Amino acid sequence: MTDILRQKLEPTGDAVESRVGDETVLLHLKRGTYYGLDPLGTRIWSFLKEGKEPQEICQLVAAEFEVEHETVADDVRRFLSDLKANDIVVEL
Amino acid sequence: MYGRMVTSEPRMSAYAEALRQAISPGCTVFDIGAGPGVFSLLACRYGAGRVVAIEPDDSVELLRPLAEANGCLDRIEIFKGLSTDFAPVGRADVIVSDLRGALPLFEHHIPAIKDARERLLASGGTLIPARDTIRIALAQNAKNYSDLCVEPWLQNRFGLDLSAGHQFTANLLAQVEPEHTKLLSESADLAVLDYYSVTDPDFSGDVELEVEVEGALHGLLMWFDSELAPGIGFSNALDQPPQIYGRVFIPLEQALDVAPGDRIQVNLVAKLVGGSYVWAWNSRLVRPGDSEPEASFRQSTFLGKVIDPDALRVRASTFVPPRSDDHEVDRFCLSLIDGRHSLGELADKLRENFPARFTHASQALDHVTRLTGRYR
Repeated sequence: MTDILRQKLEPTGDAVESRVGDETVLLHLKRGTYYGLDPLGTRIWSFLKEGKEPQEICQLVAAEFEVEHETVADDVRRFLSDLKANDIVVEL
Repeated sequence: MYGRMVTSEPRMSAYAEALRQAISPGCTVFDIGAGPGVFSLLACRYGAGRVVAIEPDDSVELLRPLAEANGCLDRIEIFKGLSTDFAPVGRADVIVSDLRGALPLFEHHIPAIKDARERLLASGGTLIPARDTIRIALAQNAKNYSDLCVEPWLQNRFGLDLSAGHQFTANLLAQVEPEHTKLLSESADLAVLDYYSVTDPDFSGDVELEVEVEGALHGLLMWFDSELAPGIGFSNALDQPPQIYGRVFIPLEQALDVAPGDRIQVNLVAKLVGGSYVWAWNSRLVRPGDSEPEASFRQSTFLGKVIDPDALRVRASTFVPPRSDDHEVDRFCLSLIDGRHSLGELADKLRENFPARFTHASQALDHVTRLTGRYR
Protein backbone atom coordinates (compact mmCIF):
# COMPACT_ATOMS: atom_id res chain seq x y z
CA MET A 1 0.00 0.00 0.00
CA THR A 2 1.26 3.49 -0.84
CA ASP A 3 2.52 5.51 2.10
CA ILE A 4 -0.30 7.91 2.97
CA LEU A 5 2.21 10.76 2.91
CA ARG A 6 2.61 10.14 -0.82
CA GLN A 7 -1.10 10.15 -1.53
CA LYS A 8 -3.13 13.11 -2.75
CA LEU A 9 -5.86 13.72 -0.20
CA GLU A 10 -8.74 16.12 0.13
CA PRO A 11 -11.38 16.73 2.80
CA THR A 12 -14.62 14.89 2.12
CA GLY A 13 -17.60 16.95 1.05
CA ASP A 14 -19.72 14.95 3.50
CA ALA A 15 -18.36 16.60 6.63
CA VAL A 16 -19.19 19.93 8.18
CA GLU A 17 -16.90 21.57 10.68
CA SER A 18 -17.10 24.07 13.45
CA ARG A 19 -14.07 25.86 14.84
CA VAL A 20 -14.04 26.14 18.62
CA GLY A 21 -11.07 28.16 19.83
CA ASP A 22 -8.00 26.40 18.47
CA GLU A 23 -9.83 23.10 18.13
CA THR A 24 -12.21 21.83 15.47
CA VAL A 25 -15.26 19.63 15.71
CA LEU A 26 -16.28 17.76 12.57
CA LEU A 27 -19.55 16.02 11.86
CA HIS A 28 -19.55 13.40 9.14
CA LEU A 29 -23.05 13.74 7.76
CA LYS A 30 -23.28 10.28 6.24
CA ARG A 31 -21.90 8.49 9.27
CA GLY A 32 -23.58 10.78 11.79
CA THR A 33 -20.40 10.77 13.87
CA TYR A 34 -18.56 13.62 15.53
CA TYR A 35 -14.77 13.96 15.45
CA GLY A 36 -12.65 16.31 17.48
CA LEU A 37 -9.39 17.74 16.20
CA ASP A 38 -6.86 19.11 18.68
CA PRO A 39 -4.86 22.25 17.83
CA LEU A 40 -2.26 20.33 15.80
CA GLY A 41 -5.00 18.36 14.03
CA THR A 42 -6.80 21.61 13.33
CA ARG A 43 -3.64 23.04 11.75
CA ILE A 44 -3.14 19.98 9.56
CA TRP A 45 -6.80 20.08 8.62
CA SER A 46 -6.50 23.71 7.52
CA PHE A 47 -3.49 22.80 5.34
CA LEU A 48 -5.51 19.98 3.77
CA LYS A 49 -8.32 22.40 2.99
CA GLU A 50 -5.81 24.70 1.31
CA GLY A 51 -4.98 21.81 -1.00
CA LYS A 52 -1.51 21.11 0.37
CA GLU A 53 -0.08 17.64 -0.04
CA PRO A 54 0.96 15.51 2.94
CA GLN A 55 4.71 15.88 2.36
CA GLU A 56 4.37 19.64 2.24
CA ILE A 57 2.18 19.59 5.34
CA CYS A 58 4.93 17.71 7.22
CA GLN A 59 7.45 20.40 6.30
CA LEU A 60 5.10 23.21 7.28
CA VAL A 61 4.21 21.61 10.60
CA ALA A 62 7.87 20.83 11.39
CA ALA A 63 8.80 24.44 10.74
CA GLU A 64 5.83 25.93 12.57
CA PHE A 65 6.10 23.76 15.67
CA GLU A 66 9.94 23.44 15.55
CA VAL A 67 9.89 19.66 15.72
CA GLU A 68 12.07 17.04 14.00
CA HIS A 69 10.75 16.19 10.55
CA GLU A 70 10.73 12.44 11.28
CA THR A 71 8.62 12.91 14.40
CA VAL A 72 6.20 15.11 12.53
CA ALA A 73 5.99 12.64 9.66
CA ASP A 74 4.96 9.86 12.05
CA ASP A 75 2.33 12.07 13.68
CA VAL A 76 0.94 13.31 10.38
CA ARG A 77 0.92 9.78 8.96
CA ARG A 78 -1.05 8.51 11.96
CA PHE A 79 -3.44 11.46 11.87
CA LEU A 80 -4.13 11.23 8.14
CA SER A 81 -4.60 7.48 8.37
CA ASP A 82 -7.23 8.03 11.06
CA LEU A 83 -8.98 10.65 8.96
CA LYS A 84 -8.93 8.41 5.91
CA ALA A 85 -10.17 5.37 7.84
CA ASN A 86 -13.12 7.47 8.97
CA ASP A 87 -13.77 8.91 5.49
CA ILE A 88 -12.97 12.43 6.69
CA VAL A 89 -10.40 12.70 3.91
CA VAL A 90 -10.54 10.88 0.60
CA GLU A 91 -7.85 10.07 -1.93
CA LEU A 92 -7.98 12.11 -5.11
CA MET B 1 -51.16 22.24 21.74
CA TYR B 2 -53.43 19.19 21.48
CA GLY B 3 -56.47 21.43 21.30
CA ARG B 4 -54.91 23.28 18.38
CA MET B 5 -54.26 19.96 16.64
CA VAL B 6 -57.96 19.20 16.75
CA THR B 7 -59.05 22.65 15.54
CA SER B 8 -56.35 22.87 12.86
CA GLU B 9 -58.13 22.79 9.52
CA PRO B 10 -58.10 21.35 6.93
CA ARG B 11 -55.75 18.91 8.66
CA MET B 12 -58.28 17.52 11.11
CA SER B 13 -61.14 17.08 8.65
CA ALA B 14 -58.78 15.36 6.22
CA TYR B 15 -57.58 12.94 8.90
CA ALA B 16 -61.19 12.24 9.96
CA GLU B 17 -62.25 11.50 6.39
CA ALA B 18 -59.21 9.28 5.78
CA LEU B 19 -60.04 7.34 8.93
CA ARG B 20 -63.72 7.05 8.02
CA GLN B 21 -62.89 5.60 4.62
CA ALA B 22 -60.23 3.20 5.93
CA ILE B 23 -62.20 1.72 8.80
CA SER B 24 -64.38 -1.30 8.28
CA PRO B 25 -66.72 -2.51 11.04
CA GLY B 26 -64.87 -4.26 13.85
CA CYS B 27 -61.37 -3.60 12.50
CA THR B 28 -58.28 -2.92 14.60
CA VAL B 29 -56.70 0.54 14.63
CA PHE B 30 -53.41 1.60 16.20
CA ASP B 31 -53.11 5.33 16.89
CA ILE B 32 -49.39 6.12 17.15
CA GLY B 33 -48.42 9.29 18.95
CA ALA B 34 -52.02 9.48 20.10
CA GLY B 35 -51.73 12.37 22.54
CA PRO B 36 -55.13 12.53 24.26
CA GLY B 37 -56.46 10.15 21.62
CA VAL B 38 -58.78 12.13 19.38
CA PHE B 39 -58.00 9.90 16.38
CA SER B 40 -58.74 6.91 18.61
CA LEU B 41 -62.15 8.32 19.50
CA LEU B 42 -62.91 8.97 15.84
CA ALA B 43 -61.82 5.46 14.93
CA CYS B 44 -64.34 4.08 17.43
CA ARG B 45 -67.04 6.37 16.12
CA TYR B 46 -66.42 5.07 12.59
CA GLY B 47 -66.82 1.47 13.71
CA ALA B 48 -63.44 0.14 14.80
CA GLY B 49 -63.72 -2.86 17.11
CA ARG B 50 -60.39 -2.43 18.84
CA VAL B 51 -58.26 0.68 19.10
CA VAL B 52 -54.87 0.98 20.77
CA ALA B 53 -53.69 4.48 21.58
CA ILE B 54 -49.89 4.49 21.73
CA GLU B 55 -48.35 7.48 23.45
CA PRO B 56 -45.44 7.93 25.88
CA ASP B 57 -46.66 11.29 27.16
CA ASP B 58 -48.93 11.70 30.19
CA SER B 59 -51.48 13.44 27.95
CA VAL B 60 -52.79 10.00 26.98
CA GLU B 61 -54.31 9.70 30.48
CA LEU B 62 -56.96 12.14 29.27
CA LEU B 63 -58.19 9.47 26.87
CA ARG B 64 -59.88 7.41 29.58
CA PRO B 65 -62.45 10.08 30.58
CA LEU B 66 -62.80 11.11 26.94
CA ALA B 67 -63.49 7.53 25.87
CA GLU B 68 -65.96 7.09 28.69
CA ALA B 69 -67.75 10.28 27.70
CA ASN B 70 -67.95 9.05 24.12
CA GLY B 71 -69.14 5.56 25.03
CA CYS B 72 -66.15 3.66 23.67
CA LEU B 73 -63.98 2.92 26.71
CA ASP B 74 -64.54 -0.82 26.21
CA ARG B 75 -62.95 -0.69 22.75
CA ILE B 76 -59.90 1.41 23.59
CA GLU B 77 -56.62 0.24 25.08
CA ILE B 78 -53.76 2.48 26.03
CA PHE B 79 -50.10 1.61 25.57
CA LYS B 80 -48.10 4.23 27.39
CA GLY B 81 -44.77 4.12 25.65
CA LEU B 82 -43.13 4.26 22.26
CA SER B 83 -44.62 2.30 19.37
CA THR B 84 -41.23 0.66 18.85
CA ASP B 85 -41.64 -0.95 22.30
CA PHE B 86 -45.21 -2.07 21.62
CA ALA B 87 -45.56 -5.82 21.09
CA PRO B 88 -49.25 -6.50 20.49
CA VAL B 89 -51.16 -9.71 19.99
CA GLY B 90 -52.43 -9.27 16.45
CA ARG B 91 -51.71 -6.56 13.92
CA ALA B 92 -53.63 -3.45 12.96
CA ASP B 93 -55.82 -3.04 9.90
CA VAL B 94 -55.25 0.71 10.09
CA ILE B 95 -52.37 2.69 11.59
CA VAL B 96 -52.92 6.40 11.99
CA SER B 97 -50.19 8.78 13.11
CA ASP B 98 -48.95 12.32 13.02
CA LEU B 99 -45.40 12.28 14.33
CA ARG B 100 -44.26 15.22 12.22
CA GLY B 101 -42.70 18.38 13.47
CA ALA B 102 -42.63 21.41 11.23
CA LEU B 103 -41.60 18.90 8.55
CA PRO B 104 -42.06 15.14 8.24
CA LEU B 105 -38.31 14.75 8.73
CA PHE B 106 -38.59 15.08 12.49
CA GLU B 107 -36.92 13.13 15.27
CA HIS B 108 -37.75 9.40 15.04
CA HIS B 109 -40.81 9.78 12.78
CA ILE B 110 -39.46 7.78 9.84
CA PRO B 111 -37.89 4.94 11.90
CA ALA B 112 -41.13 4.68 13.92
CA ILE B 113 -43.28 4.43 10.78
CA LYS B 114 -40.94 1.88 9.22
CA ASP B 115 -41.11 -0.23 12.38
CA ALA B 116 -44.89 0.10 12.56
CA ARG B 117 -45.33 -0.83 8.90
CA GLU B 118 -43.13 -3.89 9.18
CA ARG B 119 -44.13 -5.14 12.63
CA LEU B 120 -47.55 -3.78 13.54
CA LEU B 121 -49.52 -3.43 10.27
CA ALA B 122 -51.49 -6.36 8.89
CA SER B 123 -50.83 -7.40 5.32
CA GLY B 124 -52.85 -5.12 3.05
CA GLY B 125 -53.46 -2.72 5.94
CA THR B 126 -53.77 1.05 5.64
CA LEU B 127 -51.30 3.69 6.75
CA ILE B 128 -52.56 7.21 7.43
CA PRO B 129 -50.79 9.31 6.17
CA ALA B 130 -49.78 7.50 3.01
CA ARG B 131 -47.32 10.01 1.64
CA ASP B 132 -45.79 13.42 2.32
CA THR B 133 -44.02 15.59 -0.22
CA ILE B 134 -41.57 18.21 1.02
CA ARG B 135 -41.53 21.26 -1.20
CA ILE B 136 -39.05 24.08 -1.44
CA ALA B 137 -38.92 27.56 -3.00
CA LEU B 138 -36.81 30.71 -2.94
CA ALA B 139 -37.99 33.21 -0.37
CA GLN B 140 -37.68 36.88 0.42
CA ASN B 141 -38.32 37.68 4.05
CA ALA B 142 -36.52 40.82 5.15
CA LYS B 143 -38.10 41.03 8.58
CA ASN B 144 -37.53 37.49 9.77
CA TYR B 145 -34.09 37.39 8.15
CA SER B 146 -33.11 40.55 9.94
CA ASP B 147 -34.47 39.25 13.25
CA LEU B 148 -32.67 35.96 12.76
CA CYS B 149 -29.37 36.81 11.15
CA VAL B 150 -28.68 40.53 11.10
CA GLU B 151 -29.68 42.12 14.38
CA PRO B 152 -27.90 42.30 16.75
CA TRP B 153 -25.06 40.25 15.27
CA LEU B 154 -24.11 42.40 12.30
CA GLN B 155 -25.62 45.65 13.51
CA ASN B 156 -26.71 46.84 16.90
CA ARG B 157 -27.32 50.19 18.48
CA PHE B 158 -24.55 49.71 21.06
CA GLY B 159 -21.76 49.59 18.48
CA LEU B 160 -20.59 46.20 19.76
CA ASP B 161 -18.83 43.76 17.46
CA LEU B 162 -21.06 40.70 17.80
CA SER B 163 -20.25 39.34 14.35
CA ALA B 164 -18.98 36.02 15.75
CA GLY B 165 -22.57 35.24 16.63
CA HIS B 166 -23.66 35.61 13.01
CA GLN B 167 -22.06 32.28 12.08
CA PHE B 168 -24.43 30.56 14.47
CA THR B 169 -27.67 32.37 13.74
CA ALA B 170 -27.17 32.16 9.96
CA ASN B 171 -27.13 28.40 10.33
CA LEU B 172 -30.37 27.94 12.20
CA LEU B 173 -33.64 26.84 10.70
CA ALA B 174 -36.52 29.05 11.69
CA GLN B 175 -40.26 29.31 11.44
CA VAL B 176 -41.31 32.45 9.64
CA GLU B 177 -44.36 34.61 9.53
CA PRO B 178 -46.24 34.10 6.24
CA GLU B 179 -47.22 37.76 6.01
CA HIS B 180 -43.55 38.72 5.74
CA THR B 181 -42.66 36.02 3.22
CA LYS B 182 -42.72 36.37 -0.56
CA LEU B 183 -41.75 33.51 -2.85
CA LEU B 184 -39.35 34.44 -5.64
CA SER B 185 -39.64 31.17 -7.56
CA GLU B 186 -41.98 28.32 -8.27
CA SER B 187 -41.71 25.52 -5.76
CA ALA B 188 -40.01 22.21 -6.46
CA ASP B 189 -40.43 18.78 -4.93
CA LEU B 190 -37.54 18.17 -2.61
CA ALA B 191 -38.44 14.76 -1.23
CA VAL B 192 -41.33 12.33 -1.46
CA LEU B 193 -41.82 10.21 1.64
CA ASP B 194 -43.97 7.22 0.77
CA TYR B 195 -44.76 5.70 4.14
CA TYR B 196 -45.55 2.33 2.56
CA SER B 197 -41.94 2.01 1.45
CA VAL B 198 -39.67 4.57 3.13
CA THR B 199 -36.81 3.02 5.07
CA ASP B 200 -34.07 5.64 5.23
CA PRO B 201 -34.67 8.46 7.71
CA ASP B 202 -31.98 10.54 6.01
CA PHE B 203 -32.34 12.67 2.93
CA SER B 204 -29.88 14.00 0.40
CA GLY B 205 -30.75 15.68 -2.86
CA ASP B 206 -30.14 18.49 -5.30
CA VAL B 207 -32.59 21.06 -6.49
CA GLU B 208 -32.29 24.00 -8.88
CA LEU B 209 -34.69 26.90 -8.51
CA GLU B 210 -35.00 29.68 -11.07
CA VAL B 211 -35.79 33.19 -9.90
CA GLU B 212 -39.05 34.48 -11.35
CA VAL B 213 -39.51 37.64 -9.31
CA GLU B 214 -36.85 40.28 -8.73
CA GLY B 215 -36.03 40.80 -5.09
CA ALA B 216 -33.74 40.18 -2.19
CA LEU B 217 -33.20 36.49 -1.67
CA HIS B 218 -32.93 35.72 2.02
CA GLY B 219 -33.30 31.97 2.01
CA LEU B 220 -35.36 28.96 1.11
CA LEU B 221 -38.78 28.04 2.39
CA MET B 222 -39.82 24.44 2.99
CA TRP B 223 -43.27 23.02 3.66
CA PHE B 224 -45.05 19.78 2.90
CA ASP B 225 -48.12 18.48 1.11
CA SER B 226 -49.69 15.43 2.68
CA GLU B 227 -51.68 12.67 1.04
CA LEU B 228 -53.40 10.87 3.90
CA ALA B 229 -55.25 8.51 1.57
CA PRO B 230 -55.99 8.56 -2.17
CA GLY B 231 -57.68 11.87 -2.90
CA ILE B 232 -57.56 13.06 0.72
CA GLY B 233 -54.88 15.40 1.99
CA PHE B 234 -53.84 18.89 2.89
CA SER B 235 -51.06 21.31 2.17
CA ASN B 236 -49.01 23.45 4.47
CA ALA B 237 -48.06 25.83 1.64
CA LEU B 238 -47.81 29.55 2.20
CA ASP B 239 -51.18 30.24 0.56
CA GLN B 240 -53.01 27.67 2.66
CA PRO B 241 -54.67 28.24 6.05
CA PRO B 242 -52.16 28.23 8.91
CA GLN B 243 -51.53 24.76 10.27
CA ILE B 244 -49.97 23.54 13.48
CA TYR B 245 -46.73 22.73 11.67
CA GLY B 246 -45.46 26.12 10.52
CA ARG B 247 -43.10 26.54 7.56
CA VAL B 248 -39.36 26.12 7.73
CA PHE B 249 -37.06 28.91 6.61
CA ILE B 250 -33.48 28.09 5.66
CA PRO B 251 -31.43 31.30 5.69
CA LEU B 252 -28.63 32.07 3.28
CA GLU B 253 -25.41 33.27 4.84
CA GLN B 254 -25.84 36.56 2.99
CA ALA B 255 -28.88 38.07 1.36
CA LEU B 256 -28.56 38.19 -2.46
CA ASP B 257 -30.14 40.58 -4.94
CA VAL B 258 -31.62 38.36 -7.60
CA ALA B 259 -33.42 38.87 -10.89
CA PRO B 260 -35.52 36.66 -13.16
CA GLY B 261 -33.39 34.01 -14.85
CA ASP B 262 -30.91 33.69 -11.99
CA ARG B 263 -30.59 30.14 -10.77
CA ILE B 264 -30.01 28.92 -7.25
CA GLN B 265 -28.54 25.43 -7.06
CA VAL B 266 -28.91 23.76 -3.71
CA ASN B 267 -27.59 20.51 -2.36
CA LEU B 268 -29.51 19.65 0.77
CA VAL B 269 -28.80 16.94 3.32
CA ALA B 270 -30.88 15.99 6.35
CA LYS B 271 -29.25 13.46 8.64
CA LEU B 272 -30.81 11.96 11.75
CA VAL B 273 -28.11 12.18 14.40
CA GLY B 274 -28.86 11.21 17.98
CA GLY B 275 -32.59 11.69 17.71
CA SER B 276 -32.68 15.01 15.87
CA TYR B 277 -31.93 16.12 12.35
CA VAL B 278 -28.78 17.91 11.27
CA TRP B 279 -29.40 19.86 8.08
CA ALA B 280 -26.70 20.93 5.65
CA TRP B 281 -27.27 23.08 2.60
CA ASN B 282 -24.75 24.14 0.00
CA SER B 283 -26.14 26.84 -2.26
CA ARG B 284 -24.81 28.60 -5.37
CA LEU B 285 -26.09 31.59 -7.27
CA VAL B 286 -25.52 31.33 -11.02
CA ARG B 287 -26.41 34.31 -13.22
CA PRO B 288 -27.77 33.81 -16.76
CA GLY B 289 -24.95 33.12 -19.20
CA ASP B 290 -22.43 32.43 -16.45
CA SER B 291 -21.00 29.00 -15.90
CA GLU B 292 -19.38 29.80 -12.56
CA PRO B 293 -21.37 30.78 -9.48
CA GLU B 294 -21.30 34.40 -8.37
CA ALA B 295 -21.83 33.39 -4.77
CA SER B 296 -21.75 30.12 -2.92
CA PHE B 297 -22.46 29.23 0.69
CA ARG B 298 -21.85 26.10 2.70
CA GLN B 299 -24.14 26.02 5.71
CA SER B 300 -25.41 23.56 8.29
CA THR B 301 -27.42 23.53 11.47
CA PHE B 302 -24.28 21.93 12.91
CA LEU B 303 -22.70 25.38 12.57
CA GLY B 304 -25.65 26.84 14.42
CA LYS B 305 -24.69 25.06 17.61
CA VAL B 306 -22.23 26.45 20.09
CA ILE B 307 -20.16 23.36 20.79
CA ASP B 308 -18.12 22.61 23.88
CA PRO B 309 -15.32 20.24 22.80
CA ASP B 310 -15.01 18.97 26.38
CA ALA B 311 -18.64 17.90 26.34
CA LEU B 312 -17.98 15.88 23.17
CA ARG B 313 -14.73 14.41 24.50
CA VAL B 314 -16.49 12.67 27.37
CA ARG B 315 -18.75 10.93 24.87
CA ALA B 316 -15.92 9.46 22.80
CA SER B 317 -15.52 5.68 22.75
CA THR B 318 -11.97 6.15 24.01
CA PHE B 319 -12.98 8.20 27.06
CA VAL B 320 -12.41 6.48 30.41
CA PRO B 321 -14.92 7.78 32.97
CA PRO B 322 -13.27 8.44 36.34
CA ARG B 323 -14.75 6.89 39.45
CA SER B 324 -16.83 9.32 41.43
CA ASP B 325 -19.01 9.51 44.52
CA ASP B 326 -22.03 9.86 42.27
CA HIS B 327 -21.28 6.47 40.73
CA GLU B 328 -20.93 4.90 44.17
CA VAL B 329 -24.27 6.30 45.29
CA ASP B 330 -26.06 5.01 42.19
CA ARG B 331 -24.26 1.68 42.26
CA PHE B 332 -25.39 1.15 45.86
CA CYS B 333 -28.91 2.29 45.12
CA LEU B 334 -29.32 0.02 42.08
CA SER B 335 -27.92 -2.94 44.01
CA LEU B 336 -30.78 -2.61 46.50
CA ILE B 337 -33.53 -2.84 43.91
CA ASP B 338 -34.87 -6.37 44.12
CA GLY B 339 -38.56 -5.94 43.42
CA ARG B 340 -39.47 -6.02 47.12
CA HIS B 341 -38.31 -2.70 48.60
CA SER B 342 -40.35 0.49 48.26
CA LEU B 343 -38.84 3.80 47.21
CA GLY B 344 -39.05 4.99 50.83
CA GLU B 345 -37.17 1.94 52.08
CA LEU B 346 -34.52 2.38 49.40
CA ALA B 347 -34.20 6.05 50.35
CA ASP B 348 -33.75 5.17 54.04
CA LYS B 349 -30.93 2.75 53.24
CA LEU B 350 -29.33 5.25 50.93
CA ARG B 351 -29.37 7.90 53.63
CA GLU B 352 -27.91 5.48 56.19
CA ASN B 353 -24.96 4.75 53.91
CA PHE B 354 -24.36 8.27 52.63
CA PRO B 355 -25.40 10.53 55.52
CA ALA B 356 -23.19 13.42 54.44
CA ARG B 357 -24.65 13.39 50.95
CA PHE B 358 -28.28 13.10 52.00
CA THR B 359 -28.92 15.24 55.04
CA HIS B 360 -32.71 15.14 54.62
CA ALA B 361 -34.94 12.18 53.88
CA SER B 362 -36.55 14.06 50.99
CA GLN B 363 -33.18 14.38 49.23
CA ALA B 364 -32.65 10.63 49.33
CA LEU B 365 -36.20 9.96 48.17
CA ASP B 366 -35.79 12.42 45.31
CA HIS B 367 -32.61 10.73 44.22
CA VAL B 368 -34.07 7.22 44.34
CA THR B 369 -37.20 8.34 42.48
CA ARG B 370 -35.22 9.96 39.71
CA LEU B 371 -32.85 7.04 39.38
CA THR B 372 -35.54 4.38 39.24
CA GLY B 373 -37.60 6.59 36.93
CA ARG B 374 -34.96 6.16 34.25
CA TYR B 375 -35.80 2.45 34.06
CA ARG B 376 -39.59 2.66 33.98
